[in-house]
Amino acid sequence: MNNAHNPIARESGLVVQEMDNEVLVYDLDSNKAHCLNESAAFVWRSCDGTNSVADIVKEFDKNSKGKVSEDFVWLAIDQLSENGLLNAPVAKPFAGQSRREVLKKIGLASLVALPVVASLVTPQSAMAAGSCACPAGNPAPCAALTPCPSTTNCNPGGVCAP
Amino acid sequence: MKRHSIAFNSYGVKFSIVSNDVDLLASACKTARSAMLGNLIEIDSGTSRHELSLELVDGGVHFKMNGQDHGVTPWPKLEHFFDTCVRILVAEFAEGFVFLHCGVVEWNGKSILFPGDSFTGKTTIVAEFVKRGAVYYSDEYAIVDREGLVHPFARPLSIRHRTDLSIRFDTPAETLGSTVGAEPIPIDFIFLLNYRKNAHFRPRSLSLGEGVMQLMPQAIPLRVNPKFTLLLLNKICERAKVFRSNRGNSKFAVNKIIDLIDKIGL
Repeated sequence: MNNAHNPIARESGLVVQEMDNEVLVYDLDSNKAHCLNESAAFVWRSCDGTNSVADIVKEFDKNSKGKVSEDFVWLAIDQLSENGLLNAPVAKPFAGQSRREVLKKIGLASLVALPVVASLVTPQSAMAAGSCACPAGNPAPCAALTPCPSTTNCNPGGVCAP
Repeated sequence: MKRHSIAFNSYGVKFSIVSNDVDLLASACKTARSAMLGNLIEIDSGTSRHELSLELVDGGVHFKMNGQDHGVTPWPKLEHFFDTCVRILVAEFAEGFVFLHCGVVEWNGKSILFPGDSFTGKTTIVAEFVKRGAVYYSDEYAIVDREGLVHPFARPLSIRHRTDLSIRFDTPAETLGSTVGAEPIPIDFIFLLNYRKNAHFRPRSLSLGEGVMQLMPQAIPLRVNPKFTLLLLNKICERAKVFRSNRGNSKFAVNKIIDLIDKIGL
């Protein structure tokens, strides 16, 4: 169980691709891909179970990343948690405020790029798409389901077929 | 049932075609060769890892791919689907290659990829480049090797009917006045274009991470081999300039793309 104030970055079931200012993470369990910008990546790397949110704020400053607030770090942790990139979910810390409101508040006060985790669900396997539940008898939407093998027809069961 | 089989290796994917009928097997092998543009070699059946089974029965051919049942269909109607299945099988399980759903051309020595789903106007853009003399590589897959080089996969352009999108016309690039690429080449530009009527072409340069993320949905083997796929996408986007934009008319968009490429150089 994560201590909400000392979160731990998830390591298992992930393929991690380090880039200059970003980190790309592919979740093998959910087949979701996440792109962490520099700020989000820094917070994620700092979530080692010993660093508190206050410690991560200090780490930002120490590593010449700039001065940030605890809300800034929480914003990153909230997104990391929501996307399953922490060992255990962390409760939203922004009592009564939406993320948009928090973003606005932090954004106005911060000179550092706000933490962003961009995510997408990758398409299902091409072979699995052989049964892609296309609308029966309606080939156009079926063919749009890349890479659905049938671009001409679907059988009445909604299965890609010749 | 007596089983006849022939096995092939295409881009490292070993598969066998199995049938109870010799003539049907011969037709299926011809279709498979055509599907992969001859890029397959016959191998010992015992080493294959995937099976495409075609059983001649009353009413047609009972087709199964790796055990997945696709029902009974007359061969002339099944043939196109079988062709597609062979390509998808190879695209998904290729070893040492990543198949990206992309159009590919070479323009003035620069290679350009146009990733996109079906019905997004990929072929329209590729055809427009080809009409202007670009070297044609593919309008279906960018086949990228571990060095990041894109190999030609020059099937005839599959141009859709203007009103009925399910009808397609196979158009060899040569008939549009183009030549076909022969050698693998490095990837210079990637344009992620989204067709919208009357939209302006306003390209935005993507960061490395954004570029990789945008290419991921077009990477066929992503779920089968995520580690290798991500490594290769990273390699591609480290070298190539990646842009994203809406676009309207294809002629206008191609003019703008050419201007941009000339301006950037490389």
